[in-house]
Amino acid sequence: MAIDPLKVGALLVDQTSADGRHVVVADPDGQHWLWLRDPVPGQPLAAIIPLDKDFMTRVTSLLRFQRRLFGKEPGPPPRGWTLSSYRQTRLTLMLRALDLRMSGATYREIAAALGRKDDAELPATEWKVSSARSFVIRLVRDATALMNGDYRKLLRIR
Amino acid sequence: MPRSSNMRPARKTQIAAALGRAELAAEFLKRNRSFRADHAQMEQRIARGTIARQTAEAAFARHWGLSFRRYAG
Repeated sequence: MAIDPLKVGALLVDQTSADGRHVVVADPDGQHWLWLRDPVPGQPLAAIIPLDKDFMTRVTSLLRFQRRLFGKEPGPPPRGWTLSSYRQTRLTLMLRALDLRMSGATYREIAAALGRKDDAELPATEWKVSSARSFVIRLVRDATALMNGDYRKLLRIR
Repeated sequence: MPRSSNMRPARKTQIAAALGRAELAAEFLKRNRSFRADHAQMEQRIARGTIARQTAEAAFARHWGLSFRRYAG
């Protein structure tokens, strides 16, 4: 009996591209992201795992999918995949800081917008050495790096 | 398979966070000026019929490392 990877769960994303079909399969224990290079229904399937630095993440994800495919509990996503709430919060702050900076806001204005109003109103000499100022500068700096290419790092566990 | 009820909140949190990576990456990329210009240019070429949508989108996704149809916009 042929196994249909597309009947494991609801398809949250299903897009056909020149290089195959890309689907995201819903799973209460964590989604499965699949790239079907040559999707022919009813044919036996094989998986390709590049021998790159993300090998362990890919293997763990594939094992999860294989278990789900055969009706077993898939288990949790790869260790370290889940962003900590601290990191999620910081990334969200970074996006806000970046948007403000790109629309011309000063570091002071960003600090005020992010809830550091007291610090934002300090006299120039104190503002210059305040933790709020360095906090905002770091947010903008790191957000800019993510925007300019480091966004790929968010897709990796390292 | 039985699931203990106290596992549920933790699982939920994990899923939200797992979703977050690709979506957050896309949020940063969407603010990149080259990405936006590149995307606009691709849409123009598709509109003019210079290139097939599927071919253009595959090349675009490969270049930027994210499947953009879900995230661009």
